[in-house]
Amino acid sequence: MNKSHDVLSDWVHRYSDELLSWAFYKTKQQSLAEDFVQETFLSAHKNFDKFKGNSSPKTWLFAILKNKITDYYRSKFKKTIITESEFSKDDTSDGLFEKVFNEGGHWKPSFFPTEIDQSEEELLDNESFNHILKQCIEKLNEKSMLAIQLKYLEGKEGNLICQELDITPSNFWQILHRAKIQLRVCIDDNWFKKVEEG
Amino acid sequence: MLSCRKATELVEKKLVVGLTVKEKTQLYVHTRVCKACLHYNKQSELFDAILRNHIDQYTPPLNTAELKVSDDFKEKLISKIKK
Repeated sequence: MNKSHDVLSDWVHRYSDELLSWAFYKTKQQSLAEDFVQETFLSAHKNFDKFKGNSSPKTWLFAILKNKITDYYRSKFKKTIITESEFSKDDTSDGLFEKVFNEGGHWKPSFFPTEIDQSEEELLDNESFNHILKQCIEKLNEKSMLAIQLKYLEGKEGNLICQELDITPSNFWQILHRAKIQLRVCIDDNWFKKVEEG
Repeated sequence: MLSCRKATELVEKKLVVGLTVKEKTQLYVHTRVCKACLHYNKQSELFDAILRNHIDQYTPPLNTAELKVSDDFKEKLISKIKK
């Protein structure tokens, strides 16, 4: 159909940069990001009649891309779990909890969560803050990073995420707990404590 | 009484699957006496929103040195669609 070709070509010009940029941020690999963007447009072409113009083209394309990225993360996560159990890797080997909590399991004073004066609005679109957050996320190990991505990418209910990953809920939120403590410490150090210092 | 390690674990559990009545009480009691965990708990929803926004919406500024965006890619893609 000529009409869908024209529309999609237009969309390629308008949106592929942004889609590619996001896919690259998510995968860190140029060729993989290009593959996902390509698959997104091919899928959009195939399902063009399903696009009813209820949402913007950009939103629709991003939704397709997001699904593909989520599937990719899901299979990577499953592989991480399998690899771990094969080699009996000790989950507590990175010493995070020993660093942050004392022997009684209480926060060490230097790691106390700081009070936060800034509002959600001030932080959400703050480019500098998002840059710090990006760096802190990149410091996570693969399993933690993937768990965080999967939890927040589609806003699905926790139990559903666990089912799709084939792990127990308690396993999942323990992985998230470790990830969140690490993120919190990193963000405190690189942002909130620095804001306090003025 | 709960340790902070356990209390923060419950905060995360709350955000994923919710807490039992017993766990809610344990967490509440702990945050009455532990200011650090009081902050952590109060801020957990803020961090949830921050993370959701970053993971779901955020793209770093376009045209960073790492990513090469080319017209070639677009042309190839358009020709694939036309097939």
